[in-house]
Amino acid sequence: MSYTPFWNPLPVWQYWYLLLIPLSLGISIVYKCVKCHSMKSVPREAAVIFMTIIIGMVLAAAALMGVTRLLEQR
Amino acid sequence: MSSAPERSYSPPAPLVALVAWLIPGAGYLLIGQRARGLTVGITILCLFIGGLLIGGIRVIDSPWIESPAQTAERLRREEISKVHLNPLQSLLQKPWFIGQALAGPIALIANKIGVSWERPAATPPAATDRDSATLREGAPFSHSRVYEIGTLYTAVAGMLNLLAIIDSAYRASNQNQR
Repeated sequence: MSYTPFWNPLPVWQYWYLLLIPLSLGISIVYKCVKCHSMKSVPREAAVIFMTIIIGMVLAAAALMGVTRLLEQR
Repeated sequence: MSSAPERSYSPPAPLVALVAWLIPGAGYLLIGQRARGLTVGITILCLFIGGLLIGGIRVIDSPWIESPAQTAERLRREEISKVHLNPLQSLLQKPWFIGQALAGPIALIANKIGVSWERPAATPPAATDRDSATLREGAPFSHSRVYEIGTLYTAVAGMLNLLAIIDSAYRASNQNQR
C-alpha cells in the first residue's frame, strides 16, 4: 500500500517507539522556551532536559522489562 | 542578556492569550519576543503536523464534527441503546480532543477536512455494505500504535500551546503593570 500523506498512517509499525524521540525534543524545546528567562540559554537547557527524558524512558523501559521477565519466570 | 521586549506599548493579556491560541507562538510575537514566539510556534506546529503525518488526519476526532457515516452510526447506536449523550458527555467520550483543540483553529480545520475528504481516485472503495458505501466516510481512521502516537503528538502540541498561552499572557500582564 502506497503512503499518501495525511490519508494513510506512516508505515512505521516496527519502529513506532522511535517516534517518541522527536516528541521529547519538541517538549524539551517548548518547555525551556517558556521556562528560561533568556533565549540564549534555551539550546543548552533543552538538550539537557531532552537527554534526561530519553535516559529516563530507557531506564523505565528496562526496569519494566525486567519486572515482566521476572513475573514470567514465576 | 534577556530577550525582553523593548516596546513601550503592551497589548492586554486576554488579547495576547486569544492570539496565542489562534496562531501558536503569536502571543510572544505580539509582546515583542520574536525569537521565543518563532521557536515555540514552529515547534508546536511541527509536532501537530507531525502527528497528522504519523497517524493520518483522522487522529483529530472531535465529538461534534462527524462524517455522514459517523452520524448515521451514532444515531443507530443511540437508537439501540436508548442513551442520548449531551455535548459534555460526548466530549468526555473523546477526551484527547480537549488537548488537540488547544493547538488552535488548525485542529478544527484538520477535523473538518478529515471528515469531508474524498477517497483518492486511485483507491477503490473498501466498504462492502451498501449503507456505508453510499454515506461519505471521510479519510480512514488508522489503528494501533501509529494512531496512538499520532493522537499523542497532536494532543501534546495542544497542551504545549496551552503552556505558551498562559506564559505569554502572564508576560503581557507583567509588562502592563510596569
